Amino acid sequence: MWRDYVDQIIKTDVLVIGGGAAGLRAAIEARDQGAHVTLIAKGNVPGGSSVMSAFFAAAMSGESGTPQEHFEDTILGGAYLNNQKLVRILVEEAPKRIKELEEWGMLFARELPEYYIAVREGGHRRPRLIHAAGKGSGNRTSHVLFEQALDRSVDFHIFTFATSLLKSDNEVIGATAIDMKSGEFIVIQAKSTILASGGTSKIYTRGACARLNTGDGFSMALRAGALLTNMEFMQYIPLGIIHPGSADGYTLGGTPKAKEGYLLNKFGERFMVRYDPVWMEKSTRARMTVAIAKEIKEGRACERGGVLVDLTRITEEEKARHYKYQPYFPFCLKEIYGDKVGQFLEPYEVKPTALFQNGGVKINERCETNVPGLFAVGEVSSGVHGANRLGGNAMSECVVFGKIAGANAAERAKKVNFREIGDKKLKEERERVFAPLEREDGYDPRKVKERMQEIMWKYVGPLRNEVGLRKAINELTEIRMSIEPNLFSQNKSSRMNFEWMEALEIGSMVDLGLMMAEAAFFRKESREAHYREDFPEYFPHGDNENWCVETGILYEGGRLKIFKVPLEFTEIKPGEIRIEKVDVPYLTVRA
Amino acid sequence: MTIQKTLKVKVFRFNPTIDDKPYYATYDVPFTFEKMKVIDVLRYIQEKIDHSLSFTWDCRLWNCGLCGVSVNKRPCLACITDVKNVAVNGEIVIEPLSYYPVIKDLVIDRTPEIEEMHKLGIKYIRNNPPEKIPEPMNPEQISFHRDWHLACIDCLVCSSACPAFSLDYEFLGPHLSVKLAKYLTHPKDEGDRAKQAYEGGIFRCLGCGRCDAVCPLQLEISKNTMELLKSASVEESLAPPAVRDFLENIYKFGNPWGESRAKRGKWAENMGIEGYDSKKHEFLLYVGCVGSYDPRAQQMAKAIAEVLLKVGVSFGILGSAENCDGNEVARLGEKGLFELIAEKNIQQFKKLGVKKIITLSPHAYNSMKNEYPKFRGYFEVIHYTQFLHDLIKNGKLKITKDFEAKVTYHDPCFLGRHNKVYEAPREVLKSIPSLEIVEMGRNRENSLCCGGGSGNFYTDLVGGKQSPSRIRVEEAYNTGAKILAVSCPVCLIMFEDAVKTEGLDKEMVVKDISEIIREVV
Repeated sequence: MWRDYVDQIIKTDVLVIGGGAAGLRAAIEARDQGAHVTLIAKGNVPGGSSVMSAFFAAAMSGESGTPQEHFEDTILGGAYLNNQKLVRILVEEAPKRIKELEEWGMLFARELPEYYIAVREGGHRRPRLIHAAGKGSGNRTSHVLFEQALDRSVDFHIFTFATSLLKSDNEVIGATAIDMKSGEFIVIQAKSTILASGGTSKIYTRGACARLNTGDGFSMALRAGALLTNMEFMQYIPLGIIHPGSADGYTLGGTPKAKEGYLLNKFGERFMVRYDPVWMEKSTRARMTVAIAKEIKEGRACERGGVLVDLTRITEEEKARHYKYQPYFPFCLKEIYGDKVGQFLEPYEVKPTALFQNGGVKINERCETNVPGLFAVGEVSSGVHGANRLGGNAMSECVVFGKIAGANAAERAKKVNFREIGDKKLKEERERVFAPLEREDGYDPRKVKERMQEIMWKYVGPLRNEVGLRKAINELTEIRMSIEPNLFSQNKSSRMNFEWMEALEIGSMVDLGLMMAEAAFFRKESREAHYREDFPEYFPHGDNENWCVETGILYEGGRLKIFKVPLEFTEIKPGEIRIEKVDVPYLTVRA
Repeated sequence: MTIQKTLKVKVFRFNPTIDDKPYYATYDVPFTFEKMKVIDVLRYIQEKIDHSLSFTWDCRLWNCGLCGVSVNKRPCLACITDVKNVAVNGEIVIEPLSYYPVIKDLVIDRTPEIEEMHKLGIKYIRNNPPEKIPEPMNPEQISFHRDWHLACIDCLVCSSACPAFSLDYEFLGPHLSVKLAKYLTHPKDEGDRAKQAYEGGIFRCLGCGRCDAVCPLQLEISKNTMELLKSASVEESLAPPAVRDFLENIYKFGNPWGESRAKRGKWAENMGIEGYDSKKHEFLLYVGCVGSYDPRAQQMAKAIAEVLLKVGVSFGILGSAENCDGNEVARLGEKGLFELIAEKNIQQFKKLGVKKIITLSPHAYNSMKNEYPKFRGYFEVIHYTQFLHDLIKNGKLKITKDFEAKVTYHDPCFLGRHNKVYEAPREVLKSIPSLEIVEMGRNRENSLCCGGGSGNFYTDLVGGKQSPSRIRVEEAYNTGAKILAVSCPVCLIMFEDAVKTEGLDKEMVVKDISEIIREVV
């Protein structure tokens, strides 16, 4: 019996995998629809990367513009690779979800009684990013969501690492996981499963997000037969911190936080003029990343290998606002670069760092995937952002689509029954999961992980080319064939064994790395977040004639199948939006 | 400290499945750059030396609140704690946050805190939904909420530092208090936060300020959260009977025990101490309730008076005209009564022409120095240890005898953490020949509390085996000191009791600094 292979069985209507904003919002909604909800998270709840992010892009009213403008900016930023139906939902629903957060006790920064403060990020034609008041940067949204979920008695399992999705026939019927607190192997039987497991930035040496973002969700979905798209569109954030310690690769936002905030190379030149004369330093993250990566590669980097962010022309008013509404910003600058930078008296050095996976599991307007029973939401899903995400859209996506996923998952749970699990599959999964603990010798997961991160950063980083991508694919395949089956954990106890966890994460990371490298290899053009040095012609808007399609990935017959997935342009055709001149204030108090 | 090339890092290790009890492992970690943080040290160990070490972190910078650990007995966030600020002789000891169950090594189980949060019902409560969103509100209204409560990142460092908090949740601890206060200060929240705070045992807060000292976001919890919640509870007449008696007695009799006012100056009889007269005396010696009434603390008052008399300091006391200073009243959130007391005292002092005040108690020192000015009571307030230190420096106080003993000194909260006076008492002790000072592991800013703050010397809400006074005397005893020196009447009486309960009274005595000085002049 399959039950013999399991230490603990949990039965639930809706299983949510992931404890960040998307997962929490989905759990709340599913609970409101009457479903029993179990939420498992690899780390703490609230956790993931949403605790680090404070900004919601939303066209509230007034000076943050109309949903239509938000729609156009998102499509333009995504270089037309967005699923326009999803974007329409995002821009229309985001203000409602923001209002709902206020109803749940969240207070957004404001200076006037009836308006929020909104700031600008690259690619938005208006200041449109609503943010929480107060010092510290993120987590206040997640906390409000967490309180609401807790109040609704969602069943939380923290430090519980999902290893695979379970299937019966063609349906996803739950997941297997390790409860790291005890080391137990558990099975969660669910009528609907929502994947909200976050991103991939930790597949790189330099990543801005949470430690746990090793892309396990992408790998689980792939192995369960889900269709993934656009995996080559890994977003890097241009202004990543350079630091000798742990803070290396962290980021404090994607654009210089002042109207007169410049990016300078070692000659003191505002180099963005050569890459994006219209938007300059207010350009999209993708374009600024490519610009900086090129400056570095072509020998115009400064002392520590990056470029300078010059905020010395910041106005007193902007400075005062930082201290009042985002004091973490000067605080962190001071912690990392010293007092002078913290007081905006000196420029500081940055270089790009991995941030966000625009691609992922393809979803429809109901957050359903191609596999019945499996829903996806948040960073693990694909379609909303296209080829490049605009700042603030990630958090908005989490709350907007979280609600939708939760509702539809609960609805499905009402219609279907629990399914039996196959004995053989479960036995195999258990053996796979525990193998690194049982091996007496082999490869050290930490070292393999480091090697993989280096390969990915070097060859599947901000600047790519065919030779490099081929190397990456070869190396990753070698890891898959000869190293992954021989990973072992020196530490044999199953309780809170991070070495063991990392050995399993490597499995996910190889899947993920291969998907990203193969997709990048497949797409023979440059478009926003995907820059091919051997196809520089169409950057940043892409070769719309041949490549205005999604890159689809399926796992079939033991290998990845890569193909073009045509896009439906329901509202705007490629090339229709034109913006000639941009003069955006950093902030508005009437959003 | 001078920066060493190599750090000696002692790390708490415990795997409950395998190990019978916790142990410490020592690692050598290279100190590689000036602003190296504790998280860098731990990651180095995890990645380069010992893969089996469990330590969890997520964001790396001030956001996720997951990397809280205790470094050299002081809870902190590993990501923003500079190694060079915490290392002692190139050594650091890293342990998990205290009170919470350990899952393994440095990883604690947060489930109890989540359950308690659920039980307390911490979430936004509205009886009537808003008509319009954004709901109109004055930005000034949200500023307190924004600056002090919204920012909390749930790192649990404060609760782990709190001497009154342990996991049985008779007391909700500073972290959950901040969560409650978040909605108390929310301009539109309609939940009964006062009741929740009262039920959460808010009056067990000692006002010691350890939470303030460790909070990575500098949220000044004791003032902006704990006192606020206590105030709200007191306003709704929700307070434990002991607290009510305490406040009522102070209101009626000017002291917590309900003793007669006439007895207040009794300790000074036949000592030749004069009643204060501004024409004759430079200083007012303000004794306070504990020094006036408690038999043990009276010894301390006497000792100070004797020393001052001997040196020929021109001072007087108020005797039966003295009133409570109100510090504990304010810490218990009874702001109205405090105002009354402060104004009355200020009026009295002004009428008498008082300019300079020497206080026996750090508690009086705190309120007179920091809070009386808010009611336009500007006096020069000196704690007696500062005064003795000055006398010694000026050569007016001559120490004539040896005092052969090993002494450890306990920093009182209201002298140390709240007013940053750490060195004066130590200098006084250092000036005594043959006296050897040994420090306890937790000293100065990181000192523990005696358990008597916020009226707890009377209300006694934080008793039992885990009471801070008993933990502290054990710590003192473990230094090998024969004398536990204090500079506060509350500490004196709390430790005196604790030494007896712990059965240490044969090995160690509790003495006030003034009592030691009296023996050597």
